[in-house]
Amino acid sequence: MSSGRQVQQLTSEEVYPFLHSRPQGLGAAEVAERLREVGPNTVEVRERWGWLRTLARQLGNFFTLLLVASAAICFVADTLQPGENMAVLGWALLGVSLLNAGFSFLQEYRAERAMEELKKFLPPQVETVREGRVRRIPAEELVPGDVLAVAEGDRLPADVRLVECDGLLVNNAPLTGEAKPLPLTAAAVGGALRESANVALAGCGVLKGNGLGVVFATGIRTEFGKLAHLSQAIRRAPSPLERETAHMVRVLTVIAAAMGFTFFLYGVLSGRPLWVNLVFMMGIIVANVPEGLLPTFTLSLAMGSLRMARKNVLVKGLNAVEALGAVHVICTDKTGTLTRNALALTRLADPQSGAELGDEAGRRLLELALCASEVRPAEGGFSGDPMDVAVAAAHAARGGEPLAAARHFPLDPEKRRAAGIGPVAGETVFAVKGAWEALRPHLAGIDLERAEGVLHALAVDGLRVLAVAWRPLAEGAEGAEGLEQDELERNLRLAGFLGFEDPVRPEVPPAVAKCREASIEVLMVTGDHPDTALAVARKSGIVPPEGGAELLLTGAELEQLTEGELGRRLAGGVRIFARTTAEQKMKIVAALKGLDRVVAMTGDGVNDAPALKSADVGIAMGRGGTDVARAAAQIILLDDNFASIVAGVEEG
Amino acid sequence: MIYLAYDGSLNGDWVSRYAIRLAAHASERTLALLHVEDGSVSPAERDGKLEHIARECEGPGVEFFPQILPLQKNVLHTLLKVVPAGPDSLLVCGTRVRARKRALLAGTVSEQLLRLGLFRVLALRVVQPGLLGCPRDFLLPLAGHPRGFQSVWPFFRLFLPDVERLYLLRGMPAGPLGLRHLSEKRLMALRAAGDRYLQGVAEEVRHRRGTAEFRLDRGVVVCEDWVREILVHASRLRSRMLLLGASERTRAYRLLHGVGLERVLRGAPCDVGIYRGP
Repeated sequence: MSSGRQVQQLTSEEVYPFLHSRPQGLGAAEVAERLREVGPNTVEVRERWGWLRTLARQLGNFFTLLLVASAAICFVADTLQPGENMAVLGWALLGVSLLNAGFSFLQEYRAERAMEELKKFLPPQVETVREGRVRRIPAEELVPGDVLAVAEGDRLPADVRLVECDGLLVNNAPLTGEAKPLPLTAAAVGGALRESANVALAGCGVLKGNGLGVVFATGIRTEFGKLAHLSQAIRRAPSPLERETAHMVRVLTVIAAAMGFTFFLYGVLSGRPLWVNLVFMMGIIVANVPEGLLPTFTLSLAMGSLRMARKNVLVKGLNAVEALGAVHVICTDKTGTLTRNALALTRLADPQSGAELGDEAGRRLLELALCASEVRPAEGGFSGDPMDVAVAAAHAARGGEPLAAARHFPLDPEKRRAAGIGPVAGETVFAVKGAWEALRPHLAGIDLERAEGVLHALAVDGLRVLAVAWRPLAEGAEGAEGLEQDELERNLRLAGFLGFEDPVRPEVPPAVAKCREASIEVLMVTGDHPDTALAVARKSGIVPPEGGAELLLTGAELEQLTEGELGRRLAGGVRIFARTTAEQKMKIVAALKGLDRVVAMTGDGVNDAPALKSADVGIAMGRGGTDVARAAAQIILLDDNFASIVAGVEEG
Repeated sequence: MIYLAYDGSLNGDWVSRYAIRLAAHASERTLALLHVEDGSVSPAERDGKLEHIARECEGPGVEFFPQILPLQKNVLHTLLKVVPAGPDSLLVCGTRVRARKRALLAGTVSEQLLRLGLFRVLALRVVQPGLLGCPRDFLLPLAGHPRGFQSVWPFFRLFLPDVERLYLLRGMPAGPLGLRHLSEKRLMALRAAGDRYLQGVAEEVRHRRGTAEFRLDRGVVVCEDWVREILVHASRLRSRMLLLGASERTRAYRLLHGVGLERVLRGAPCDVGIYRGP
């Protein structure tokens, strides 16, 4: 391990001198020097003549040049021998070439939409301390060393090392894809910079608390900036159709030139006038140029995209139609794509035997869970946290009456549990519902090892498991009014485990089977737990119903593999990636492309944008996806359904 | 012996962190700071900064020798008088932004030092001061030079104790017609050739690294724009340091291709080190 320190390993007192800053902030001259040195705090890479380079690239395309050369030949031929309408043909060829180049230029230019969506994650203005005063400045003027105050509701404009922290909770979802709140600290920590708990990253939101920090990275050097840079800089590789078309054009050009020259020679040797031979040669060459090829392709792809739209697949880039039809591998998300993303309570387990609880015991468990839940009646059922809603729905389905909790302790992300006081079976109880690890220290009178075994068996089945515990309140609810949750959580009795399942969409297994018949591999790439991922993969048909565990790789294992090793594992049949990050999605795409596969990748988060761009076909979710993902993708699934991808492949 | 060409600027302070880390890993554990009195910074400010650097040297146990050099002819001439020629000398310098947005490297003292090739030179562009000269994640783009890892080793070995990950990236040019006109057969042949090259480099890295443990990964990319691929990979891999070799080229080549280094220096999402040995 390196003995050198990075900014996260400094104590809060060391941060200012090491970043050449001070609590009063920077002076004007210091700011100017740093702004000159690292540039403005912007994630957009502005190339001054970038649009011109893009246009030149489209106009310099071989086929475009061929059409332009053919047009030039027509104009020359018309000059030499007017009256043959060669000029009309010349103008037609020129028109087709300019239209094609213009269309491709516009498509590439429109790709910058993803950047516009990403910029919305950064605030336009920020408050910083400079020369001893708090100033409001454009976020673009932030520099390393600036002192930044952060408070609830703020979006972070740059990467900041915290020096003061008061209950700060941030949401790193734009970078990690997880909405789980993260508590921060000002103390020194070890480990990797971007995972440090004393670093607040650009693009992320402050959920709670406040703090003070020193900026240490701005613009594309922030973690968010790198994501934005990738969204701009990645260019899609030519699709199989583009490559085949280019090959055909080269072959036709050689044939046309050879034929033209042959006839020219024949004419010269047979004594015809030179100009006549020249015009004839030009005519042969132009006649063999497939000027109708491009409009034909464009039209057929457009018609394909219309048919796909009727099957809930919205095509943004016409090349995606053809690329989807040529796909070898579909890398799909789990939640919401393979599954319904609707939690249902499917198991009520005895905490010692693991057996399904009977009617009475099951109803009591549900009442205790409901006591620790917070739901409101809504049209068609209930509203609230999805797990709470599932509990309330299951309770109502068993004929349970609505329960009025006297007091509720909301779900605390740090404590990982929620609690409540209310009447259950005629007595006032204190009930807690949450993660097993969070409840375990407060339990009494139970074999914890056996309970752990029951929990594990449920998790292996792919269920998300909550533990429910309780204790009677002898004094009644009134006596417990002044007590905090921590004071009430002692000598709790474990009532049982709740098993929640996000069911697989019914149309998914047949769609996966169709892919298998067409020799298209389906890989699952998810950030979820390996057991859950394996269970869903079995039910979807991605792996056999029994076994398949050897076809699973976790993110931690993936991190240790080189791209070559990953390629070999993929070739060896790995089908499931669990606990993966968005960067690892890109690694999977790179490894698959190294195996010469045409790859379709789904994504919905902000941090999926680079993976969507680097895949041959990027597919974003229309309902659950972010604007950034939709802007970066070529295809949008209007119903978020995996089966729609397969329908799109059929059309392609 | 490690020398630091220090101009007294903030960029110089950031570069000095790297020089301190390199000196800490060198056998002599000595850093000679060379400041040419060209009037760019006041003596009082300079002395304050030198004290700060001296304090930072104490932590890793580096002996610090600052030298204030009176300006003779120009900065380059002054430095060449002091730094002995040969592979035993390593001069660390910066590539700072200058007025009127002129090039970061072209026409600078750093470029001249690199081109002269009298001793080892490492020119650094620092844009992530929070790394404190300790990047840990390295990206090494390789254009296929026959010397492979040999040319970078004298520099890389000084980073070795801090390295946690090294990614070797080989760029294979797609040809004048571009990727679109590359046949599948040619594409595979280019990838295979690139992979063979990287396999050799990887073997050499494993052989030279001794007991140092770090993750070694590699990738081949067939591309039209090598610079763009370097920058994309730097972002994708979250690299903290790009190490690029500089070699002498003809004026015509520099005119056509030389702007590549400038594009990397301007567009890199991480710190960049440009190296050249004697």
